[in-house]
Amino acid sequence: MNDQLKTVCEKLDQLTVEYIQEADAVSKLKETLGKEIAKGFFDLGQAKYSMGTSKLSRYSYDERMKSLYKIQVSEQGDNDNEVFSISNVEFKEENDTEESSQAKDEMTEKLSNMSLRQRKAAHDTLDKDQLETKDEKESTEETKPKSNLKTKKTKEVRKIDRNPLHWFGILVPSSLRTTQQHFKTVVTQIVEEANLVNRLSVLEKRFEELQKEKERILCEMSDPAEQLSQPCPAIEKDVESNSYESEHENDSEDEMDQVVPELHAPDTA
Amino acid sequence: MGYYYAYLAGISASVLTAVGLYLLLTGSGEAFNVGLLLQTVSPYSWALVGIALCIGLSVTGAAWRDQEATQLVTFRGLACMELRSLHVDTNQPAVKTPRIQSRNLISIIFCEVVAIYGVIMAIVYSAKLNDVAPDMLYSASNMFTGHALFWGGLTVGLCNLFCGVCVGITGSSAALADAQDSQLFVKVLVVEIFGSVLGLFGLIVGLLAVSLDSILRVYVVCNPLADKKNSLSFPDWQSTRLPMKTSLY
Amino acid sequence: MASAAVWNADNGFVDGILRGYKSGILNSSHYLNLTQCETVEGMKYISSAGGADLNENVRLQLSATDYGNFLQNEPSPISTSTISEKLTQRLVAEFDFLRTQAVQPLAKFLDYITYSYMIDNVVLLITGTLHERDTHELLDRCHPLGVFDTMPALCVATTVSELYNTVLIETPLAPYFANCLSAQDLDELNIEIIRNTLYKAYLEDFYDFCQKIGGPTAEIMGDILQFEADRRTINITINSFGTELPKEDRKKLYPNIGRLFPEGNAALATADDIDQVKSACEVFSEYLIFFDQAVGESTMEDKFFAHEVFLNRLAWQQQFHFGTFYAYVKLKEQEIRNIVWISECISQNQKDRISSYISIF
Repeated sequence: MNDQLKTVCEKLDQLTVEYIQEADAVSKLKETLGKEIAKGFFDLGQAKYSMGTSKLSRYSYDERMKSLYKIQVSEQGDNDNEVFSISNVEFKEENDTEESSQAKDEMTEKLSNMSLRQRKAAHDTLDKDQLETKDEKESTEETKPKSNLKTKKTKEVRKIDRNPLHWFGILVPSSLRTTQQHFKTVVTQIVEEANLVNRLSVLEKRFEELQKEKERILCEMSDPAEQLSQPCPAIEKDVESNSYESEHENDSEDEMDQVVPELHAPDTA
Repeated sequence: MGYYYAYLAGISASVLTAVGLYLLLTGSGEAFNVGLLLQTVSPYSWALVGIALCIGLSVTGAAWRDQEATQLVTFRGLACMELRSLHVDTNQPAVKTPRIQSRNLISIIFCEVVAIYGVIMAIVYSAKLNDVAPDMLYSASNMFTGHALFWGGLTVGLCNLFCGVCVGITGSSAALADAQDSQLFVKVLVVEIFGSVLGLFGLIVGLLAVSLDSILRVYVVCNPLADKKNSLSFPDWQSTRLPMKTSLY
Repeated sequence: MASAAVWNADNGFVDGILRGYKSGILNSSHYLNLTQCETVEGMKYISSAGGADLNENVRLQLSATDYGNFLQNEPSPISTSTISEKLTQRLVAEFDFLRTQAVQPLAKFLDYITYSYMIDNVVLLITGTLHERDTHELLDRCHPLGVFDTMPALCVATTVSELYNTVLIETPLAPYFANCLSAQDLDELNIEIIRNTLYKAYLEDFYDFCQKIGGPTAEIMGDILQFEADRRTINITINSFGTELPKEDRKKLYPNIGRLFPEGNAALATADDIDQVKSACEVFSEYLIFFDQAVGESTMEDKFFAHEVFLNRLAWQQQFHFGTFYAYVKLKEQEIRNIVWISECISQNQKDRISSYISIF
């Protein structure tokens, strides 16, 4: 019993440390994300100053536009019976990081090799987790393997320039180009952050489970007779970890609520 | 459109050349006689044309000036009312710079002065017109008077014309300056006053021309009755001969 | 002198109105008040003179100026594009008033000012057609100073020659199409080339017109248009780095009336980076300041705008010329840009760069 308790406590400690590290990573990522978005909008304001507000509006959007990024949901892991659609993310994340880094390598390769004009077929797919459905409304379209086919088809009709920067003209001021760079970085960073937040929620779940197990063990250890009548109350030793848990629960909930409002920042119109 | 003046100049030059050559080549080149023109045109016509030019050009100058000033003073006041009517709200004052209207009337008054100069000179000149018997018409004094009135009137008229234009331009600038900064008005007004002095110069010269005539008339009229022995008088215009020595050695 | 003597007969009234408008341009104290504002939205009551706390919001501040309550009926929160639209509408109303009162040759001069907006509208409509947008939406977005009768017909054209023969041949822009008639399809690159070719032809035509008028108009407008040409040359060069615009095409887009013509243009046509651009422009000392890179202070665009404002201000020092009309339109546009910039900085909470506006008077 004591051994069990010990292992459970050790696991809890480990989990706490991991949680704090992850939370730290999330908050740092949020900060950079916030700064990147702010820079993006500021450069957009500068571009409006140079080009004129009427030239940079939603009326210049191309109606034929297709999304350039795809988000895939892949469910992996052993907790498939969970109510939430977020599955166990550990292995997935390793895979994800592999795949995502691969995709990122591809993307950066493409970005570095191609000039702006040649990005007709520069569609990328990133395999990421799906965020909670109540908040997430990212559009998804499958283009990656078919992009080559598509360009061959479309070459016959008319070459369509897929770079959104060109909707506003070819010779655009540099501040508009930097705006595009900033927003591109933001898109990848958002998905990373969503991943981390999912991971946090998974850690929380596990933390809760371990907590319960610990309580159970303690209950069993203290009075086997009372176990059947009522569950044992929480022992003082756990007060600290409880407060941790409650704090981080609140934080993670706030964080998750804040993810999407950042996506719906003031639009360019 | 741009060639209009070129055509006009070309045609008139060729006509004049043709007429001149005709006269020359048909032996009647002597018909082109400026001296005869000056001597045979009646002094009355010289005088009256002079008076007409005097008053006509002065009034033109005044009108020119008037139009410039009126444009500025009245229309800018009106203009500012139009400006306000574009705006939705009417809580703001109706006229932009109404104060320039009263002060810039001074500019308009200057232009009236120019016209008045012309009228004065016209009256003074017309007092010199007298009824003369036809055989005395081409006497020296009358010729002198005729020419003096012509050129005096032309002088006064042209001076007033240019004065009017000058005062007009500076008055327009004064209105603009006043609208921007009211301290500038007096300073530009000083410039305008210097401009209006041009009309005054014309007036003075015109008066001089007339008074010279009256001085001369006294002597010239008296001349035929003067005794030749009184050689203090002016020589006889009709029979002026230079004293010449005929000996060549 | 002759121009000064007879100028007021035809143009005195319009000039008077224009100078009245000019005194309504915001000056530096207004801008200071605007930068102190905390929010863009405002309270929806009519401001009485000296009533409310003037440091509170942009809408309120603007109502204390000549603009009056032009934003009164807008629901809050106001976006910067709404502000920009309303300000532009005010400018358009003033310009239309001037245009209706003007006689020739001032009327022609004012028409020349509108041609640049016409070019923008044409390009907007063609691009919108390429992007398969709804034509009515696009027609609403056109700049009101540049509307002409056959605009809706622009939306059916697919090639340049079709465009020209069906629609543009009756517009004042027809003579500017001489150099860009081809049977090529319209795509983004070609549209950009068309836009710049049209603008080049327009600038040269405008310059010739002003030189024909002569006098102070030619002098002042000559300076302004030369700078405009040089600025476009430099901008085209710098913005084309990294795009697929070929150098020969780039050279054809440079106007011929600037001070950089012909040697500067030739040098810039072969430039590949900003240092080469700088060395090509070094000949003119006024242009050197544009290349001083003080990072974070003001961009090159800001310096261009500042110089443009300087040249336009000079137009007001002389009388009896048409340059003041052009200068007024450009200065008003700069004012609109300033107000929109200040509103953007306030709404994005980036007040450290808020003083990058260019004060006019």
